[in-house]
Amino acid sequence: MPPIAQALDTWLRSAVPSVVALGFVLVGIVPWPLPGLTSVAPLFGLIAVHYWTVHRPVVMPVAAAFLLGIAHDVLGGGPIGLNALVLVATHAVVGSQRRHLARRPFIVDWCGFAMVAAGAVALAWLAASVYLGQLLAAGPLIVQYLLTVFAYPAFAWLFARLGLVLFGKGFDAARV
Amino acid sequence: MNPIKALARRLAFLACLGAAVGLMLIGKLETVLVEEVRAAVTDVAAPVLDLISQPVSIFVHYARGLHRLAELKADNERLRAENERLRRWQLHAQRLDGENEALRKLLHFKPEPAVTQVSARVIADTGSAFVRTVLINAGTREGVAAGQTVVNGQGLVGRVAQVANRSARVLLITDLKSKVPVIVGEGRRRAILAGDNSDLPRLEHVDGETPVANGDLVLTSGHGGVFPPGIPVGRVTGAKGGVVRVRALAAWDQLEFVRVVGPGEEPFATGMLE
Repeated sequence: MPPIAQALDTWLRSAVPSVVALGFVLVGIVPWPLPGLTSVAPLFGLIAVHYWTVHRPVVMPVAAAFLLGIAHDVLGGGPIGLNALVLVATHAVVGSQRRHLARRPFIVDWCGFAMVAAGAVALAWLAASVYLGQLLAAGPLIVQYLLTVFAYPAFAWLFARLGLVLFGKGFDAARV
Repeated sequence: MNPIKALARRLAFLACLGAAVGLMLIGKLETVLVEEVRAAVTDVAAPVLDLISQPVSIFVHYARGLHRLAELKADNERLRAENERLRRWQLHAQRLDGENEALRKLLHFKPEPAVTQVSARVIADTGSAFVRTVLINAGTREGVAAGQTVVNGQGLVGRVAQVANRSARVLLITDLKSKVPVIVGEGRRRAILAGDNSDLPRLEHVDGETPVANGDLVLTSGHGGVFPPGIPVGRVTGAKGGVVRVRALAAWDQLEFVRVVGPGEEPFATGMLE
């Protein structure tokens, strides 16, 4: 392969995770008229940012996390910048704790995610409360948090397959 | 990692953090501008969301169909009984209609001008605990205007908060910013139905002394002129800790199609629900 084609190939491969994450963010916004699944969908953006920041940080730069958050904010109708703030903060925290999470058994990754997500949801609650000038009900957020944490293994599995396809055997897919 | 790379990474983080906080501040201060930008972006994304939401809708349709198969027999019996009841109401309505017509003629009553009515599909739900809005696939192109009332077959859904060319954002009555003047129960007591981002909005400033009863029907009162009067909203579902909550008639988890109606129109004959 000529160098330019190779560079393009690498670039396209590293863009896939962000594009897939954006797709999931959109799917999370689309209405799912199932009984009981009211407007609290799992935070797909958070799952993607955490997973890729741990397992392949190169493909999830902070700008990608920021843009995922902005897309969610603009289309979701909430305060613009709120999800962006949460995802950028998550990116920073996960990035700094990466050595404790990467190349470990999956359960470690999952527990790490549960902690990170708790912090992220708390930050979102705090920022939204300040923004709206009143304390918000925590109920829907707790539901959203639990949904997100329990959705994580399925997405981690999916992203691991995707990572192996895109980046080959060297990809750290977390040992399940 | 070399120091330049580390510095660049830190700067990128700070820039993104600053941008996020800055956008929130701008959103708070320059609401109109930000909402216009949001409407423009939403308009571009609307066809994509429309496209994604259709297979989801079909999938959910079949999933629900399977679930309902089990309840077919009971449903059938229930519907038969309901049909019987509705037939009686139909007769009643026809009689009242005739009577109404005759009385109007007698009074030379001028009916309200016909108002546009637009049906639309819900193409996006917020998926957030901070705001309760939905996006519909109709906008100014279809004649939707900000402030119009949104209902579905069951009852009041909300009002149009923002319109773009081919999409509009509907503020649900459960949203924190939603305040609907209502009347409650047989006593027709005035109150304000205030959303708090939970599924069950609160009744505030209830007129009078006696407490409202469980199951009381809540209708829009039309006060303030935003919502037309007499639209069924929900039923009182019990007081807990001094807070009276209302279960909306519109099923939030099954919001697929809605109707946007202009002010002044009566989208429902309210007596049918009693």
